[in-house]
Amino acid sequence: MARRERSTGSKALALMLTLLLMTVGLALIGCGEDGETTTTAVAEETTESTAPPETESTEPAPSGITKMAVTAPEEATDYGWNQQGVESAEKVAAEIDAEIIVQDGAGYEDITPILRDLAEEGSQLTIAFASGYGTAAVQQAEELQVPHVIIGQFEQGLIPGLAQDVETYAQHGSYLAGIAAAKTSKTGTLGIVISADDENWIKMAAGFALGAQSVNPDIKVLMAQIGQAGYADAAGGKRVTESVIAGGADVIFGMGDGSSFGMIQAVETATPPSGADKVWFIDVIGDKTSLDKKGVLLTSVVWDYAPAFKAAADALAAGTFGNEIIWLDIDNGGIDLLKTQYLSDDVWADVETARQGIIDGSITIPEIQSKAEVEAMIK
Amino acid sequence: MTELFTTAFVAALISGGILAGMPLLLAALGETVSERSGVLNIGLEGMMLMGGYGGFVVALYTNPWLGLAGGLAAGVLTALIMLVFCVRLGLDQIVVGIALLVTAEGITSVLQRAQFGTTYPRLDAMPVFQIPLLSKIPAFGQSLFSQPLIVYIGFALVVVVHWVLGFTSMGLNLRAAGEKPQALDAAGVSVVATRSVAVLVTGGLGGLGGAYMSIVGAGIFVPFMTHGAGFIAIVIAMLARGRALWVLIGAMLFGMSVSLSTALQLVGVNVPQDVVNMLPFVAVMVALIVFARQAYLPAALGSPYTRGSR
Amino acid sequence: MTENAGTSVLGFEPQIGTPSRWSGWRGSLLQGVGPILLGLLAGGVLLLIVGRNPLTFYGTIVNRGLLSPSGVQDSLTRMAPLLFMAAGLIVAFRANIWNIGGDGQFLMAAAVVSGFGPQITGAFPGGLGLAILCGMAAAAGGLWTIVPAMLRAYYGLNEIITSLMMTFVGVNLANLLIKGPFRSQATNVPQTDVIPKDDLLPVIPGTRIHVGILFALVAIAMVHYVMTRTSFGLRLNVLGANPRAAIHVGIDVRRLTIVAFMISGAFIGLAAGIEILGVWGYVRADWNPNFGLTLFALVFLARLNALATVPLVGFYAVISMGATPPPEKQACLTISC
Repeated sequence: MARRERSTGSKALALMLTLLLMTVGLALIGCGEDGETTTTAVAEETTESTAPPETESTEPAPSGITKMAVTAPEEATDYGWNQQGVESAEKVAAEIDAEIIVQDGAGYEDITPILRDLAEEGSQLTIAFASGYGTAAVQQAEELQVPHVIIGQFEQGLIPGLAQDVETYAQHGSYLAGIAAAKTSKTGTLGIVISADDENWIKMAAGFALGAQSVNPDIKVLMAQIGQAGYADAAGGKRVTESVIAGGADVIFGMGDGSSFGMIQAVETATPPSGADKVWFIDVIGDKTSLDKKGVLLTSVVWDYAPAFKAAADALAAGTFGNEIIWLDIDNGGIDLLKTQYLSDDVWADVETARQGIIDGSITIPEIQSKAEVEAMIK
Repeated sequence: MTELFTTAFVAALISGGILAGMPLLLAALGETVSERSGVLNIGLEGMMLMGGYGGFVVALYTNPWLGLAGGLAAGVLTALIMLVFCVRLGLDQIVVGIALLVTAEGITSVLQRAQFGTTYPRLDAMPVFQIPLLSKIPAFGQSLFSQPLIVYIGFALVVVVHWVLGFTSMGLNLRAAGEKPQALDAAGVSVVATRSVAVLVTGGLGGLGGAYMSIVGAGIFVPFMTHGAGFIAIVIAMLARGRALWVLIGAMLFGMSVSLSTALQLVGVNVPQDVVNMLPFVAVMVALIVFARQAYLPAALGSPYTRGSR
Repeated sequence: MTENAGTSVLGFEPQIGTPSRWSGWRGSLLQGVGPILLGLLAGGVLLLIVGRNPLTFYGTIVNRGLLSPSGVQDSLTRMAPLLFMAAGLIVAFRANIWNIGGDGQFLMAAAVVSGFGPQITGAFPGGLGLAILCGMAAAAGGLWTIVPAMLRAYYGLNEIITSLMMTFVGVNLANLLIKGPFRSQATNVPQTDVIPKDDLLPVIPGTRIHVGILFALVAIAMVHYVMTRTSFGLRLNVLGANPRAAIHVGIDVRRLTIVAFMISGAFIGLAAGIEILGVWGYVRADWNPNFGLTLFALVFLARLNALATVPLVGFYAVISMGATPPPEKQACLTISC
């Protein structure tokens, strides 16, 4: 009996220890995502906003906004979507002389509480930087009567004075990437790897294939997806990319988040397919040049939300906020192809020609959102 | 599209299957040992994450082999907590396992972000070890017999576990600890010591599986990268009912089916990813319903052993 | 421990009046608060190591999740589905049924509710539509347990593995439904149609907290009452403590196992229903809050005492609202190696 009692006592002790363990875990999981909200005063900001003012430099727009906010699902150190959104917002805030609250790492749960917090902290223009935030952000814009910038909701994301939708001609940038890829490929086979079912990824895959086909109608394009939501699946990214390379592709157009690094690792370490002497990687959204120690980054389809956010701020001042969709396109610098040292001059010349063609409308690129259609196109 | 099926492509698919299956194999082997001894390790995924992170860090600063050892050690250290709580103190195994998982997720993501959150360093590929004659076999040779050495070690471990469980006194003790701990105790062998060994082995193999994933599989560690693999390994181990060879079959079937879905996509067969993910489990569930066989599990699985209590 | 095989795979002893120095409310309180403090301390040390100020970090959590008026309301809102889920887990665990497939049950119910939600709230006035939807949620969650329940009841098949597999199937099937038949044509993002805000659960007057939290508290109280004061609860406890004894005292073990399993699933389905009808109004593809596993541990730490889960769930809600939730975690249990 004595033994029994001892065991119960230690059981209680052990229960305590478990709770301890759990607390550590819970606290740290939260921390890993960084609950910190950083408010940056503009004065301290030394972003590249000091770049030469644009030619049509508007008067220092008295937009009336003194405080704005941006929230993104993951931390803004990903050289991708989140970093792009946050940096663009900071840049615009500096331009219009407003304070900015940055809430990155906000996750994919219900964003309503965070939007409300940001409004309570005095944000006069909140950027809800994820298409998954769209529905809730439109609702909150109405409820809080605070203007919100919405991503990816099209007409549903427009409420005059309150909700301003922003869309991208993402396929235009990837069309240029397709040209660069087709010009660079030695095997005549290109690969597209996407991490998840994501409309943007599919739109861009289509543009890439069309651009490549514009150079060489017979070019082979292989497309594979890691998983339904394989954003963080780095091992899967490497595995799928290796299969695509083995299928003969020597230029990989990769779209993912954490999984992108698995794709890049595959490109860096792969045996080139026969006919090629190396494998190239084309990235999206951000500029990973500084991480490219092995020199495999051919180019990147870079997005820049700053012009769109600036247009939204201007629209707010002009009273046209939420009247019509703001587009990121090549003309306004929202979408572009990164010029790296690995792109030869004649490849770049072709890219330039196509860029002009897209701007003047002589090249039109359809927006394709179904994976099946893309697959039919590259068959 | 048949011209796609070149030797290199088939080789990549088989390699891909091994790449996806190997972490499952290692972890499921570990789980098998632990379950045989009566400890259900639900925290396997946590041990894989710790192993993946620890292994990656060591590999980054030294070399991949020390990295794999580091991953193993990290898994063992994590299992030490399980040992103290579940085997020594007799606390509920499922709850401790889940607590370990949550903790491992938290710790690894915090450390990864602090250390590599802005640099994202990547490793070189592990050198490939060609088995002299076999690697020349057409079609299969390039993929099966031209792999990093750790892959052969992984396959060899199947034989080792099979042999230890089936043909050694240690294996007998392990099984006794899972089936009739009182009898083992009466025979003068410590149940706690036996189970402790099993738990540590599980941690080591789970950690090795995680390290394989980060060092060989991805060349980088990113938070949450195990992505449910630990739970799939548990399912494989349970379906294999304690037999190492079946663990091998299960893990490789799973890896190959994942790799095959990539192949289907590349030849343009469009199966929704959700269906691909679901199919193995649907198949197993249907088989269970149709055959309704008793999935064998050790009698004392999950129950802490306290001498004298009944 | 007993050596009975098969059905009672994981012997669990209900902790009824164990004599030890830990008993009594003071002991319980110490057990509850002590480790939390120690845990926060340990977490703080790690935060220091990675160069963060733990005080700032915890301060943000407490501020956001508890002290600010909107924070405390958000935390209470978050508690509603968690409490329902806790109720469901307690029913199963008491009967020694390890239902670890909660996430699959949750998501299946969420998909069904949001898929049919807009039509049903449109067709039936106010409360009736919501009641029907809650019924559907409970049914969806309950039915998703039926395979593991039958396999366990009739063939003694271990439910840990079968419910885990049903979670993998459920999560993927829910996604297929959301991307397929239930997909909204109104937006580009793969999600269901949105139930108009006015048709959702009303809020408690003067707050932003929807009434789901009240239902959840009622459910917890009910479960506590049934478990401690009724013969059904007694039978569940007997079944959980010793299935052989249960047979001896004439309990229909098979029936009781299936019933308990389905009640557990139904509560978890209700959790999803309440969350969708109270907070979201729709479901996005690939959404998976992964409540199941964490709650699992919380419920156990409450020693399967329904009332004791309330403060623990509250603690978790504050942390999860105060610290923003982990992004990749949603993909954690879906598989795509």
